Amino acid sequence: MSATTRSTDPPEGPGTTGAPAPTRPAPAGDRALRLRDVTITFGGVTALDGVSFEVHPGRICGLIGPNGAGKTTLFNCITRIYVPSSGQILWGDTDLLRLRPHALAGAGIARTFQNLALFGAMSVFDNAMVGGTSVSRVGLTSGALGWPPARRRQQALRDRAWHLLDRLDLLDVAERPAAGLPFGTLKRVELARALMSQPALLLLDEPAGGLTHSEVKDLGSLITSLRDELGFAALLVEHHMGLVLGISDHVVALDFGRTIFEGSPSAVRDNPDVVRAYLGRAA
Amino acid sequence: MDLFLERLISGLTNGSIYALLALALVVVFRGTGTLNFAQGELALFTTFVAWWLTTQSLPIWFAIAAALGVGFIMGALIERLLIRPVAKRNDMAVLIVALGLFTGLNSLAGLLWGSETKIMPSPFPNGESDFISIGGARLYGDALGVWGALIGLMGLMTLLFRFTKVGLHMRAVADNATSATLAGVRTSRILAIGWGLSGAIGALAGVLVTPLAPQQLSLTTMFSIFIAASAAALFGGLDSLVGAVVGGLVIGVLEAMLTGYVSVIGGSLQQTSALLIIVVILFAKPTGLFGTTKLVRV
Repeated sequence: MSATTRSTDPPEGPGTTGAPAPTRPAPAGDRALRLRDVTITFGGVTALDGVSFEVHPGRICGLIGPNGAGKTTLFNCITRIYVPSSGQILWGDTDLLRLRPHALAGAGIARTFQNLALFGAMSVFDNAMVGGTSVSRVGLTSGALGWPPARRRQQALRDRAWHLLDRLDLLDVAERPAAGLPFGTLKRVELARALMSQPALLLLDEPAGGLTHSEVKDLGSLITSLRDELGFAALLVEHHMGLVLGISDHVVALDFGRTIFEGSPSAVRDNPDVVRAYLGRAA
Repeated sequence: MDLFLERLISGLTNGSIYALLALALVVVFRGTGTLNFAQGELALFTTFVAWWLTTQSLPIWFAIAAALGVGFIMGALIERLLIRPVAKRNDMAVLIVALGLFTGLNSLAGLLWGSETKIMPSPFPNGESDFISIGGARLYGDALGVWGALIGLMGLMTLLFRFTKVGLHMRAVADNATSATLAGVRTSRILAIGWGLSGAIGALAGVLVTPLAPQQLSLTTMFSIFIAASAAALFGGLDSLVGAVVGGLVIGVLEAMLTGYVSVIGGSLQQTSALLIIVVILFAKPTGLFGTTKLVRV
C-alpha cells in the first residue's frame, strides 16, 4: 500500500496518451485559473519563487515535483490559507486574493485535502450536504420550515447528494459516520463533498496518497469520467506519476519553488530538468 | 415513599434547569471550544430584562419572548465584538474575556436594577393548589412547565441540527472549522448564531428558574445554577447535547437525594456536592460520559 504513493512507475491506466477525451461536453465554466509570478517567503525561505501557469476550463492540470517543491504551499495560496508575498492569482476576471476563504466555494472552486478534512462525527451523506448547502440559496432554517421554493431547492440538493454518492459508490455507507471508514472510501467522500458545490475548478491535493495500486487506477478513471460528465477543470497535485501522466492534459513541474517544466504529459518524462529534480544531479 | 417522589420531582425540575443551561454551554463549546463562564450571568441579565418588562405591566409571555430575543442578540454581539477578536490569539484570552463578562454583566444588572431581591412571576400556574398528586407526592404546575420547556427545546434543537442548513453547518463547524470554511461555510456567521442561540437558551433557563429558586431574582441567583450546569456539561463531555441533558438531570436528582438523605450535606453543602460530582467524573473519565476523545497528531 505505501509503496504506491511514492512510485514513479511508467504511466498506466486510462487515458495514458494524454489525449483529450473525444466526447467532452462544454466545460462547467469559461473561466481559467491564472497564476502570475506567485511568490511566498516564510522567514528567509522562499517557498514559491515567481510561479506562473494557467489551468484552462475543462482541462486537468497536473502539478508535480519532489517533496518540498512547493506544491501544497501553492495549493494553500490558491485556497487562501496562505497569502502570497507577491504575485497574482486570477480566476477568470476575479482576483482570488481578494476573496474571503468561504467565498471560494461560491465562486466555483472546491478542494480536497491530502490528509482528509472531513466531519468525522457526521454521516457521509451530511458531509456531502455541507458542500452543497454552503453555496446554495437555501435559507438558513428553511429545511425545517415549509416555504415551498426553499423546500424544493433543499430537495434538489438532497437528490444531487444521493446521485453523487451513488456515482462514487458510497450508497452503502451513506448513513455511517465518516470517522472509522477506510481511507480510500473517505477520499471518495471528500470528492463527493467537493463536487456537491458544482465546481468549475476542482483542486485535488494528492488524491492517490495512501491508496492501493488498484484503487489508484479506479481513481484515475473516476476523475476523468466525472470530468467528462460535469465539465470541471482540475488542478491535481500528486506524487503518483502514473496517475498524473495518465489523466492530465497539461503538466507543470516545480522544484525548490520554481517552475522547471510546463507542457504535455508525454514530454515531461524526457525532460532533463524534471529527471534531474527527481533523481538528483548525477543523472 | 411520597417524600422520595417529591425529592425526585424537585431533583428533576432543578435538573431540567441545569440541563437547559448546560445545553447553552455545550452549543458554545462545540463552536468556539471554550467554556463560557459568562453564560449564567448572561441568563441573569436577560431574566432581569424579562422581570423589568413585567413591571411595565406587559404580559409574562411577551416578557419571556423578549428576553429570549435579547439573549440571542447579546450572545451574538458578544461573539462578534468581544470573543472573535481575541479568539485568534489563544483560548486563554477567550476565558479571560468570559470571566470579565461574568463580573461585568452581574454589575451591570445591579447598576440598572439594584441589588435587592425581585419577585419574578411564573408563566405557569404555581399557586398553593396548582398541583396534581402522584402517589401522595405533589407535582406542581411550574415543575411540569419546566419539564415541558426542556422537552420542547430538545425537540426544537433536534429539528434544527438534523433538518436545517444552519444546523448542518453548526455541526460541520464544530467538527472541523477550517474544513467547513473551505467547503464554503461562513464559519464566522455560524459562530455568532451559535452564541446567540446559547444566549437565548440561557435566557429561557433564567426566566424559568427564578420563580422556583430560593433566592428568587437577585444578583446571586444564577451562580449556583451555573456551577451545577457546568458540572452537567462536563458530565456529558462538554460537546454532547444528549450528554448535557442526561448530566443535568442526573446532577439535579443526585443533589436532591444527597441533600435530602445525607444529613451532613443538608442545605449548606449543596453546591459542594455538585463540585464533588465534577471531580469524581474527571477522575474516572476525563472526556466525560458522552464526550468524544480528541486525537491529535504529534
